[in-house]
Amino acid sequence: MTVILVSSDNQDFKVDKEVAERSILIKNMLEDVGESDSPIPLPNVTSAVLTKVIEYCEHHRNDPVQVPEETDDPRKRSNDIEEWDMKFMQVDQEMLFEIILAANYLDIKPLLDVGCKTVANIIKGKTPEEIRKAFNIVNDFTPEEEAQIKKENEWAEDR
Amino acid sequence: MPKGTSPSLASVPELLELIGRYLTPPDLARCALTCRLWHHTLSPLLWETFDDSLYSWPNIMLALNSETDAGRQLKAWVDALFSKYGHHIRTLRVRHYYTVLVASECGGCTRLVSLQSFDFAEGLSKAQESGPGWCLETTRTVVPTVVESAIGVELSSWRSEADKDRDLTTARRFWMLLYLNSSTLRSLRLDKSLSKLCTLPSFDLLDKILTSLQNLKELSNTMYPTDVDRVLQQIPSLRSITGCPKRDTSSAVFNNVRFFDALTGMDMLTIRHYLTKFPNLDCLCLERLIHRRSMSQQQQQPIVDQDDINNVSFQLSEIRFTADDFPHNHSRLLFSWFPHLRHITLDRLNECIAHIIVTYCRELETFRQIEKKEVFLCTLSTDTALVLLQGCPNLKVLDVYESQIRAESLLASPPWVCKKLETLRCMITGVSRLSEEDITTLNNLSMTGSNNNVFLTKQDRHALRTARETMGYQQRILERLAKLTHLKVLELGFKRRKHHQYGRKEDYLYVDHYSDTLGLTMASGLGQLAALKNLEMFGFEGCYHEIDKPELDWMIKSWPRLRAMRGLRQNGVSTSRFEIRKTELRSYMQQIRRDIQQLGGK
Repeated sequence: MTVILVSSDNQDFKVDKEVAERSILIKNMLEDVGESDSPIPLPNVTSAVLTKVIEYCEHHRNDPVQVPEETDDPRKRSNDIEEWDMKFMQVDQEMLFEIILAANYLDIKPLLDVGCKTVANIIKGKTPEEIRKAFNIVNDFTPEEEAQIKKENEWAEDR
Repeated sequence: MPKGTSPSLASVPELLELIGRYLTPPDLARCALTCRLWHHTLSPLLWETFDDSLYSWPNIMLALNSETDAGRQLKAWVDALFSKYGHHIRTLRVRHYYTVLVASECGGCTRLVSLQSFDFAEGLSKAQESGPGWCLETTRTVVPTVVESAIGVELSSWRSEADKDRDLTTARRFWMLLYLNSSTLRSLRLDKSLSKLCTLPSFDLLDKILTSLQNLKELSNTMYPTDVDRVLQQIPSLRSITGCPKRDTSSAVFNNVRFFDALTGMDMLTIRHYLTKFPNLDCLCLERLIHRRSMSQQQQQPIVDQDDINNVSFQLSEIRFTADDFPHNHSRLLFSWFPHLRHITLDRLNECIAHIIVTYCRELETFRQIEKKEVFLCTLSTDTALVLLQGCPNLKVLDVYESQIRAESLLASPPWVCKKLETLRCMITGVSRLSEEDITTLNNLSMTGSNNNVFLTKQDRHALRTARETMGYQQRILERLAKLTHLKVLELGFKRRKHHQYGRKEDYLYVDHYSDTLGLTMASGLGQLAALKNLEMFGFEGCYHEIDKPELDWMIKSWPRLRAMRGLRQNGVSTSRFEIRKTELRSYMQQIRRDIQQLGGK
């Protein structure tokens, strides 16, 4: 069985139901609507991003569904990205954020995780100035504020 | 998000929060320095867990104790931090008195989910560098086991009046902190050192305090002996409990309990009693299995039906023994109770236990040896790791750092079934290596450039043949290891060490490396391990390896996920060629790959 997804720029994507249901949002929608051929509009996702998201879901169509653990480790690991996923995430930063936002909106937990890990790996080990440069952040602290926060965060330096 | 704007981390704080979950405090702290929004969004994450044993806190806590201006300034700085960020803290782990004081005074620490106290003596002994430290030592050794550190024991007579006052305040503030957070706490750890701070209130009062914690799920209590049954009746929500077992308690059943740490040893009948009492138990910890002489008497005069302990099985998935001995006469029966056991932690793997595990625990995923201060290769454990490698198809972690596999047995062993193995810590010994004499001969040969057979002496030929043989031998061993393609952690050696305690100073005495271990050079087949694409940690401490720059370059190239190594740090102050080379190689690694952690050593 296939379903039709419609991107924000009105392009139709025909995908297997099993693939589309990697998105919990779509899964719930389909369950609510029941048997129906009507296309599903996704007004928050452009066709470029949707193409990528579908590519991901196709590749992971047979993965077991993630069960959220009750005792979730608050400090998650970011160095256990699968090889395919790592390659999949090698896109420009704008696309990377678009994918993360789409994964958040469509409720595709594993894709969201991989996206966040990828960004975290970019941040790791960088100085504040390097982070600003990497993400186009404007430093809006006054020099006094910056000095104060620097002092406040001194405890968190690696020994 | 408005249409037409490209998304950025700056515009979506929710996203930043999700990403922050994958960052450690040092990275979070640097992120918080980039701009106001990031500071605002990430500070709660940075402060979510406060642990005074991490990052710079141990040094800060040590320094603020001094009665100088610098000490007072530091206190004021910590106070200011807590009043600004303290309300973000959800998990508080304390070892130092000042953490307790500031957390209870700042007014913000009222939504703690987890409050864990650890050895306060640690904090005190460091804090009182000039004080009567020797006394503290005495009190530490006076308290041998958990149970004896019961409430009211006057262990504190050595302290000055000022010290007593401070300890009393610390204890009071701790209970106050507990009270302030009684509605949110889900996890609580009461360390036995709390009872050293002062004479504690009565059991009844403590019971009353515990009863008020209605959302508590985890209770670890080594502070005073708890009657497990009573505590559970008061706090039925508990999923995890630490306390002393009694065999003659009621037959009440508690379905919520998943984790039980008995702190002491237990005999088979007591274990049976608690397994019935906690039908959903996942993990059982005990010191040791106690062999009761009365068990054999019971065979003539059975108190319980023997069938009652023979033909039973439980759902338990994990068992941990914490003491460094393990009686074997009953372990066969014990393990036969747990067909679904997946994780085992024991003192060491001997042959008897290895065969029992392979027979009864077919689903085993993790076998760990308990961490010890002294490390010695145990001859009783020789080759036992092979039994598990051959017999446990689901094995993921085999951490038996005091065990050795003899090269000969390894090569003779049938194919290993554990295709999913991710961690292997075990030494391979009995590897034939070139003698000093052979090496000298070979060096001379290569210098003269003579490879014409006619001019070779008998000694030269012998050296050449041995070289070929040992290289081939090592290559075959590495070939076997290379089949474990899921490996993330591979440690092929540990440094033998003896632990010493001089007064308050701890020290380790390292013994020489083992000479009959793998050379780990390109020439001896290191390249075979190229198949271990997932490797994150590689260890060879205590091996007589000949790793050099080409080998390090190869590792970096072949193992893209490598994050840590163990073996390039110096053990002790030895000036041997071997130790000095370590330092050279370590600085080489730090030049080319700073991000790879160098572990081990002192």
